[in-house]
Amino acid sequence: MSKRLHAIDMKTDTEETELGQAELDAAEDRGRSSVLNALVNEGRVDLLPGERDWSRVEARLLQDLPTPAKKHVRARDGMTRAAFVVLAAAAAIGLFVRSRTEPAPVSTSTAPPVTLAAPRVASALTGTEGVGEVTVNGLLAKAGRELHADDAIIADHARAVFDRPGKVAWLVDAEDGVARARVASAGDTLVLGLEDGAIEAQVVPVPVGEAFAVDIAPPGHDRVRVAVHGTHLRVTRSGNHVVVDLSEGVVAIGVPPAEGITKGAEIHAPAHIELDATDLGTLKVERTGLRTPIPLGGHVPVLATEPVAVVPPPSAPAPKAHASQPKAQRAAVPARVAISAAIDECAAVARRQRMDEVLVTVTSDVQLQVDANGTATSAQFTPPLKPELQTCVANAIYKAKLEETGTVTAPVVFGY
Amino acid sequence: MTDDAVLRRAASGDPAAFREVFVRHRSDVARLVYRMLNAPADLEDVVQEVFVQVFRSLKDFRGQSKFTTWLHRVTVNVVLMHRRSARSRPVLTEEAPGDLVADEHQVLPDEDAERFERMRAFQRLLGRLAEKKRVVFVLHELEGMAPAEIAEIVEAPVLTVRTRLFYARRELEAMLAEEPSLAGLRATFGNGKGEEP
Repeated sequence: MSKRLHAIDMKTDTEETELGQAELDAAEDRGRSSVLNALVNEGRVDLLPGERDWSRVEARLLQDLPTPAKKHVRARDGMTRAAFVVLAAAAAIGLFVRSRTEPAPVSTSTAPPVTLAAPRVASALTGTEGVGEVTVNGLLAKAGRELHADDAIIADHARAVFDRPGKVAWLVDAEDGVARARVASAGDTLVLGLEDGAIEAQVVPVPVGEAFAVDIAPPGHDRVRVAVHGTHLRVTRSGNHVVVDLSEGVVAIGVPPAEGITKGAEIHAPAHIELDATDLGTLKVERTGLRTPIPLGGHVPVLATEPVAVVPPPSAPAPKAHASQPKAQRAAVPARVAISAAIDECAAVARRQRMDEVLVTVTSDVQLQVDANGTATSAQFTPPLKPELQTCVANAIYKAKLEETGTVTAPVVFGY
Repeated sequence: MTDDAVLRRAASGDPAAFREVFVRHRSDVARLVYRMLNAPADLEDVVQEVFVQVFRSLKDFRGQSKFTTWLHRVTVNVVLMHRRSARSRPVLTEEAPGDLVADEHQVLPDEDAERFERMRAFQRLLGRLAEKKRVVFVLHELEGMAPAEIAEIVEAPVLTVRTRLFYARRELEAMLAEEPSLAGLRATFGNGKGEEP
């Protein structure tokens, strides 16, 4: 049988004008064509999948199910494999951030705890952005959805923002495609598996161990982990190609041992790191081209100016409509005017996205750091706003050229 | 064992109970996947993915809706995600859709051959509908679900479901008029309206 390559054709899903009850009743009374009736009747009988070898599917399914016992074995196997990987020395990459002054102790086991107690909450979804959808375990996810170990997250042309209070604020970003991630462990260390797309995180530093980690190994390979003590970073994966944009902190890239800290090349922020996840020798570090961090957890990272000379000021990663504003033509405006305009713009967006009639009033303070050119280089919200609101307001402010320089503080009060 | 008891045990992580859930519902899931997917080569993978997601989500199933409604919701979402993932990448597929491909050496009686061609055409046309319309059309017309239940599955108001259904039928009727392989069917029925709403 001949085969050919083709892309699956799908129509854009635009919603037509909703019809009224009477209009729909009348249309149904008129009935539909006999040809369509005949096809539907035949389809009910003929459009069937036929006999299947369900035992094969069942065997694969039961093998893939994440049971506690299996997780334990898998983790142990992983550690055994890791020892071989050290000897092989080329197949795996571990990456972690540690204190600039002294090496931090590292947890000695990466195995998720085996327990019969109620599952720990890994994080909770605080919001979604974008035109697409976010599902957890195949079901549409809404704000407040809690994540547990083994939960699978898919963001389809969307961004899902999560929070683990006091520990880490993170997001799964599909950019223009589909991002797939899963919760590998919901223990003291929140471990995520990244299959496709990007994960960005703002991690609260911990004195001991790792607060957050991202597994990036491609299928069929040994575990490769990006382990974090406290920093802002973004890990993007497309097949074996992995990009780490490090906005804050220090990372070391190397092979994770079964015990102790990861040894490897130590890299300071800001850094744009690219590597093939199966070949440590491909690791490249550049000081420019660093992706603008997304504000998370009430904090917009300040891109460090040392040791590199030029770091592009934060421009808007999202919403995308704001990304290409020409800064050369900006006229300086008072910071309060810029903040007020930003709030108006974002409140309008938030109002459009709300499905209910409840008025939400937001009260916060924003502290801007403004450089000599009048460009805001960071924005700190106290208390934090919803991440999507925060991103929107920060991005709108970044577009403006401000009259003031240095530190500018202003109240943020609005309803939507 | 009752459905409720099986589900409770499966939700607590009992593999034997989950296997029972799989055995009881796999045919319904496979039928819906087959009708929505239009890519039978992926059917088993997608059915497997549906049940993996069911296993992960069962702990969140609170029984506010029927289990089958909830299962259909998971199935629909998995199929849509699968299609969207496939949309941007070229895939190797058979020249004609899988299960409806007749064996080269098999000679079908004329009537069966015509019916076979009609179903192939019907599948092609269904595949040309935008996904929201295709979902409600398949669930209502082929799976026989009421708009209220479909509304729960797609998480949209009933009126929205009925509107999508209306436009899906209208688009299909327009496409049917242009489909060469359905000329015989058109000749038999003309363009008259049927009685069935």
